[in-house]
Amino acid sequence: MQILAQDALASGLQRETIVVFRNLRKDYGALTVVPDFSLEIRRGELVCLLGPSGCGKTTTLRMLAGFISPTSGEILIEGQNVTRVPAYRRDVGIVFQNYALFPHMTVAKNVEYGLVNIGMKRQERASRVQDMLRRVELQHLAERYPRELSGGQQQRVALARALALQPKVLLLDEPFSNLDAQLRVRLRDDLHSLIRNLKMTTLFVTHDQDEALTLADRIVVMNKGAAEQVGSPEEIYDAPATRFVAEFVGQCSLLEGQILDGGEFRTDDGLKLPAFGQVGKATAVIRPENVKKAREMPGVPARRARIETSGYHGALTRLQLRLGGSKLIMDTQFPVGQKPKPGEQIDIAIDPVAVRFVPPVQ
Amino acid sequence: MNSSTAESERRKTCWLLLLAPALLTLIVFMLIPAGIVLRISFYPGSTTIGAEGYSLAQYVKFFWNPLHLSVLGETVAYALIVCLGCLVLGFPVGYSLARHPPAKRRVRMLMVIVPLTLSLVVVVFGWLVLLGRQGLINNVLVWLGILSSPQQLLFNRTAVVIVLIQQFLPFIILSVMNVVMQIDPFLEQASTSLRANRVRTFIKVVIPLSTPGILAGLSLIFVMAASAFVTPRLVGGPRAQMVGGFIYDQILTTSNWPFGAAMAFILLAVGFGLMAALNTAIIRPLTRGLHVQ
Repeated sequence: MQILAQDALASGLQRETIVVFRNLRKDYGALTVVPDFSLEIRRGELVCLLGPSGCGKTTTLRMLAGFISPTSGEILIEGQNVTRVPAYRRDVGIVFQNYALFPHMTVAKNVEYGLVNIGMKRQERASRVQDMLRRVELQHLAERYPRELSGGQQQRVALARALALQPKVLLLDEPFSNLDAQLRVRLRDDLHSLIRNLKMTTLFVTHDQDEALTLADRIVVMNKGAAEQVGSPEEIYDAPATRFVAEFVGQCSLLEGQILDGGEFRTDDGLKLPAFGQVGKATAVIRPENVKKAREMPGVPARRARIETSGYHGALTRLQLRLGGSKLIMDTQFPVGQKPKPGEQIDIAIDPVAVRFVPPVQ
Repeated sequence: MNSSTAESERRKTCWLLLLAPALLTLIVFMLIPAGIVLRISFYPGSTTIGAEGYSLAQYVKFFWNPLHLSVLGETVAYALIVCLGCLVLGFPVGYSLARHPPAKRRVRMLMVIVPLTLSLVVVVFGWLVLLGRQGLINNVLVWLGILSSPQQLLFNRTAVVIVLIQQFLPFIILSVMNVVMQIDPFLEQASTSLRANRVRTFIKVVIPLSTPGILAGLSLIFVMAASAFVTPRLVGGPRAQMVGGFIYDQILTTSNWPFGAAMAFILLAVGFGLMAALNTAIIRPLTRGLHVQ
């Protein structure tokens, strides 16, 4: 019984929609930043807008926050049309890229700020501030000023400040881009568990695919202001819908060719792969870890490739291969001291199940 | 270790060399004359010729006379009203300049600065033409039927205040612009996302963060307004007296240098005192969390 309910919850079928973007468009003069964007976010979901800079992801986030008003289209929060509602009445919490903490207020005052604005009683405020600071483990710094804190601590204050008001949606604008790599991973995990514990509906914006893949329930890959693909991290990585998604998320080799009658894909220079899908021109997407050593894939025809470069990445070695006229990237492991050198030959096999086909370049 | 001390010595020498011209000018043309004037203010008599000894006679004379005190009070009142007027008119302009993109800011800033390049006397004469009985404002008011005949708009306190505000407005505009440019615009957005409307954001975020700049601009204006001399003379007439005019009379008309010098130092002390009070009462507590000190 319980398991069934959880399944339903997990599949999102019974979870209500919290945020709706409907045909959102934003023009700046003649420049269209977001042409037509639609998306629904369900309760407790962590959705990520992923894309290169200038793809309109931040503009979209800011339209939800109410800092930018869309040229056309609608935004709904819990069923209420907020398109023309000013930011201060939207019930949306936001953590800015630079955290935007009030420099003239202590940590506690920063967190308390929103609570004062909604007219909460002093005692209630104090206990809420305490509670929030405890959650982000900053009670001991309550009386410090923001500039006396480290970047990671500032981020947690910004988060506590946004969450103190218990907003309907939490927005994160490139929340980790100002932190160094080590700290980034740790804070990412902390943030993840905090948001999960609070079951907070969250929309976050990033250009970092690792962040998106590890944090998000659903990823919206954006390109030129439109959602190129919406799906779980696995779907985005394993089954990219377009060439753009394939290239932007993770590494891949792209082979141009034709899907022929009889379930075969043939590249322009004669490489063959089993294929299904519409007959015609197509691009094959092959992730580096799906190019294997021939002996690891018995039953799949082996091919001899030439190693052009060999890069060391700790656990894995990344090889750039030339196979006929095509280039392939391969991630694999070699025993100590047996790493092949550029110019050598290697027998490889491409895992046929893992190959995806996307529409070719126009 | 030796090289580092030598390096810091060299740095110090460089600093001194760079500071020297300004410092020298300041000492020769400002501090030494000011010292001489201070000395003169302690002479007992009403002339410097053959004067000797030290006495507080001039200061006693000033504070003993209700007329002098009322002029001093009026001067301070003028300066405060001018400050307030400049703030109310200048803040919105400075704020909007700061929030404009640089390309648009340039022309607007020029329009703010240009009046400063005109000689004060020219500006005041401009106002005389504007406010005179046959001036533009009177003509327009009569033409509109608001006035039946031209009125005397000059030679009263209001005229002095208006002209002083016009002169000092650029200082507050530029001060506000500078300080607001340093306020992260995201702070205002953060405030709105935390349920504060524009007014509240302005009061709780923009004003506290721009107060250091505002007060810097205002103290400048206060000092300049309190020592104004040309404007009250030409626009104010006999009814609008300020200390500056009094000092001028004492020194150039009556040739009573000691008394004039004493009044000059009283005015200076009032200015310094007010600024020190502002600094300890408002700026320091406000800037505890900020980088500026």
